[in-house]
Amino acid sequence: MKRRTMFMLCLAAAGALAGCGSSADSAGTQASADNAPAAEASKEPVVINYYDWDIPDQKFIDDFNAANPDIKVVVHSIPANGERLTKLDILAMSGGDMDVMPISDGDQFTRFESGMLAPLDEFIERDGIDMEASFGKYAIWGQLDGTYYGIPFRATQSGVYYNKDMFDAAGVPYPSDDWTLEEYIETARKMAEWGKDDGIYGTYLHTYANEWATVAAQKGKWFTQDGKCNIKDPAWVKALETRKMLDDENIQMPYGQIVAAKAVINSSFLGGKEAMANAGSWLVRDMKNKEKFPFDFEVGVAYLPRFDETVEGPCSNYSASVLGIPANSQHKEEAWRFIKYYVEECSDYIAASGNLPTYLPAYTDDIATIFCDGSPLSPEDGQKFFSDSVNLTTNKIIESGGTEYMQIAKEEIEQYFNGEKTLEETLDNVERRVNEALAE
Amino acid sequence: MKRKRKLTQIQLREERAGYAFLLPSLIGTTIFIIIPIVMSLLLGFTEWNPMKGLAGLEFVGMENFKNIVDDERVVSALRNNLIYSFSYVPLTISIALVLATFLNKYVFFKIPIRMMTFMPYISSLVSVATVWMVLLYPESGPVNSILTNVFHVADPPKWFVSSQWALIGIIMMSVWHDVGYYCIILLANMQGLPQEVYESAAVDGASPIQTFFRITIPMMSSSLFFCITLATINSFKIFDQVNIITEGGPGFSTTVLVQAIYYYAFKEYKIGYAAAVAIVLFLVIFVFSTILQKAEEKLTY
Repeated sequence: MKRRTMFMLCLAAAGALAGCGSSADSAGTQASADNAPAAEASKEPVVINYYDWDIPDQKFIDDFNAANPDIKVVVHSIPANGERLTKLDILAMSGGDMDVMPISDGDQFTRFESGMLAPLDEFIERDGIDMEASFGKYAIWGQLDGTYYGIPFRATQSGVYYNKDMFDAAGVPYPSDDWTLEEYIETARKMAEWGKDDGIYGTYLHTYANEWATVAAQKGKWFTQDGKCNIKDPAWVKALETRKMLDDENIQMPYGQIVAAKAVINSSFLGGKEAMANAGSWLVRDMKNKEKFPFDFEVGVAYLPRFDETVEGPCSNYSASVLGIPANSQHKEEAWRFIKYYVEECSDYIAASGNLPTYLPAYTDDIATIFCDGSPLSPEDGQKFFSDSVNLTTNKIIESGGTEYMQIAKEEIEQYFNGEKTLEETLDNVERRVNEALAE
Repeated sequence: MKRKRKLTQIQLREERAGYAFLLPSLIGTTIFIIIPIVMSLLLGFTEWNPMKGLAGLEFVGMENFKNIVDDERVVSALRNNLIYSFSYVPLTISIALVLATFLNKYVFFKIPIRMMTFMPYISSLVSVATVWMVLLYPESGPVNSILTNVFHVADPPKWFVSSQWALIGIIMMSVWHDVGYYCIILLANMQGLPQEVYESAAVDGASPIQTFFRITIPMMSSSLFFCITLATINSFKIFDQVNIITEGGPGFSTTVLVQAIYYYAFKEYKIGYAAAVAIVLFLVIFVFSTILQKAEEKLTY
């Protein structure tokens, strides 16, 4: 008898354990099913989850929540490290509750292609948004084959930042706004000569994929006419040789050393290790963060050099990040309203955080001042990021297959920069592997 | 007749009770271990981009495995894995054995030294990897400074930046990190060895080296095999240090299988292909552990 009771007890316990998952699940779905109509009845706000690694100011979110009582935007800050995209991808794929996600600088196109994000054309048409007029050159970063999946909201534009104190001490004139690659190399060489006893380099170019191509992108083409890999374009060859030469002459921190030391632009340049640095507009954001980067010198910024005399200046390299709605979001309408508000009305917040807003109608006369405020840049220098006469090109490969192309190029080219393979071998390998990948 | 039936009934009831006790853990194992294993086996024969949901799942048969053969990333990963295992396992076990012998006998301050050998193992691999990156920094790092200034090496290796030296650097780091663990296991076994055998060997005039090779090693063969099997399996699972230090570079010189799996699954979202590579890794580990098991049956006392 006793044993039978024990057995029944065990069975009951096991059943309870086993049933636990499913019963909790059904309770959950029931609760949410009950919630939906209840929410409409009592106007419970819809929760919109927005994930990002660079959030300007909580105030613009509070303003939005106050103005839209039916929506409650919840911000989730994620670390700004190399794994940030993987984290967002997994959130989007696992059917998590993410409603608004950012995708940065050229990483968006494979994600548009995969169907991870909801198309936005319907919303754009309904609200009568003229993408070309509103976003100009940034508009292409939100679309794939004519369909919009993302709205550009934050841009990166490169420049050559220079440490004015070092130039003054060396007696070298500041970089001009109309200079060529040759002049850039000469300036870097002079500054390296001046700083070599203190271990100060003339300039800095990071190891990001295709970072060596920012200037050459003014002329180079990634693909041939018939859609094959065009890595042997003379412009790319010259760009690669230039990086290698500057590395070998110790004018800039060599590629391998950046990798080995895990050097980063902001702490290196703001730590006074270089006289110049090739960096995006986001360096302004870091210059405002005096706690993290306590530096004490004046900084100016010049446009990127022109590749050669045939290119019209001024020139810069650019890319844009977009906001998108994951295809499995339950609240697309509300998410869209938040995106629209963010992009159209928060440009000043984005500028104040040291990032470039992309909504052109918001480019007022003060925007460069707001952007530079708190950093050592003068508003005249800041204006260079907002001028519409700049010849903008991109080093990112935004055509189909571009992500793989850049990955292959990075893997092969680092061996050339580290002096393990000749330029010819490297270019042959890139060409072969890219063409194989494109053929698939 | 009646009696027999009664007995089976009791037996049956006991059996049922047994299964009932097993049930909770069985459910856990099924959900968290068995189903995922079966799933990933099946996924190896599909092409799946999870961004498209279950609709993106497509059965492709042996396609993935055919592609693996020409895949530079996986082929170099397999090669690097083999180089790594064949140098890491012998180095770790032999150093651990030598260390254990010295710790067992010839050393003062046994306890502090034992602690020091075990210290690397209990520190996190992430911080150890970062420290080694600094130690092996190519320009003016401590190791290279010693090589150039003390030993007058004109062109010291560039370690993690060079494709010839990066894997060697990782092997050195891993051996240093894990040696303490195996040393402790072997030391525990060594301390339990019967003293009579050593005494009679001493009476017969055996040299310490003879004693070591003819007595110590044979008597420890089962725990040595345990260590070798464990180290082999662990060495095939290497990922952390590679991902932190070199991310597989330069080129494919330090790419390993687990890292290739991670790359395909979470950078390119080719889940089916990544699962196929995982099956390859499983087969490699399976082959090696089977060989080791067969050897153990033959060689241990």
